[in-house]
Amino acid sequence: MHDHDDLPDELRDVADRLRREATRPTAMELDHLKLRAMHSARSHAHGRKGTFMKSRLATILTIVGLTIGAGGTFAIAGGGGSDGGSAAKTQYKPGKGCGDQNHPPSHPSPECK
Amino acid sequence: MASPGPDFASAYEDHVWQVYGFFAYRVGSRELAEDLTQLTFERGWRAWGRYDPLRAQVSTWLLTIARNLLIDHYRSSGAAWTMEPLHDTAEQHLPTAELTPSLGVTPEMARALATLDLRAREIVALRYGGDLTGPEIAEITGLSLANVQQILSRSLRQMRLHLGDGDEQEDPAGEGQTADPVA
Repeated sequence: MHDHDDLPDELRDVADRLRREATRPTAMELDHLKLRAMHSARSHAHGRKGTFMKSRLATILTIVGLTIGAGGTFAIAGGGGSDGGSAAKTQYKPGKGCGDQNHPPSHPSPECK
Repeated sequence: MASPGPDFASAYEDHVWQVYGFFAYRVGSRELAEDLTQLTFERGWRAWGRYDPLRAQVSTWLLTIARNLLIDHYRSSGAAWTMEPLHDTAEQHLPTAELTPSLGVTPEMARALATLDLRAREIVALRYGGDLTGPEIAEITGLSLANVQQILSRSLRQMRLHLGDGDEQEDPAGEGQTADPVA
């Protein structure tokens, strides 16, 4: 479209006036707008990065938690077995041979005191 | 999302005044014009990866965003006022803000613009505030080029009557037959 849009002569002055009075941002407003746009863009970028970091952090914490949890479970399961044996062996290993206190063995073990 | 890079910065530098100019002819305050301009570029920045220079000029693309943003803005305001469902709020019935002298428009011009219906005012804003061409306006609005030119001529004629130097009767012969600006 040309400057005067092929308008009739009597309308060109109105068109010119509309162009003249069209509000344009001042230099200060342009700077302000630019700063706001940059700030907004940065916020969005950080927001995305933050979300990404949060999800990564959550994943890492979950893995660490599971690992610690599983390790803890294993540790508890194996707890008390200072000899490194299994819980079954700890609980159900043969006795010390002390036997019934009312019928002392002929050769008492040093542990039977 | 593709990084906007320096191209978007150039688009901003080259077209911010057009976006602002469009809003300035549609809303009532510099603050709102500024807010909506910023939102337009914010949306544009986010969608920049999808911008196809083969399909549209940057100015047309940005002003399409601006126009949609303004419709959203009016719809949300309209919904608050009328409690109508959004889809029932016709664009022609959306609230329109009075232009104030603080926006740089003279009171006389503001009064002349206020006589236009919403569609006509939008076309005027896109042409003289957004500095778009007739074909670009037709592309954005979905109107035919002939219709855009017709609306522009009729709008200017109507405004001229209110600008003090008009000596014609409103709605001259033949203009009334094309009164419906919506294609």
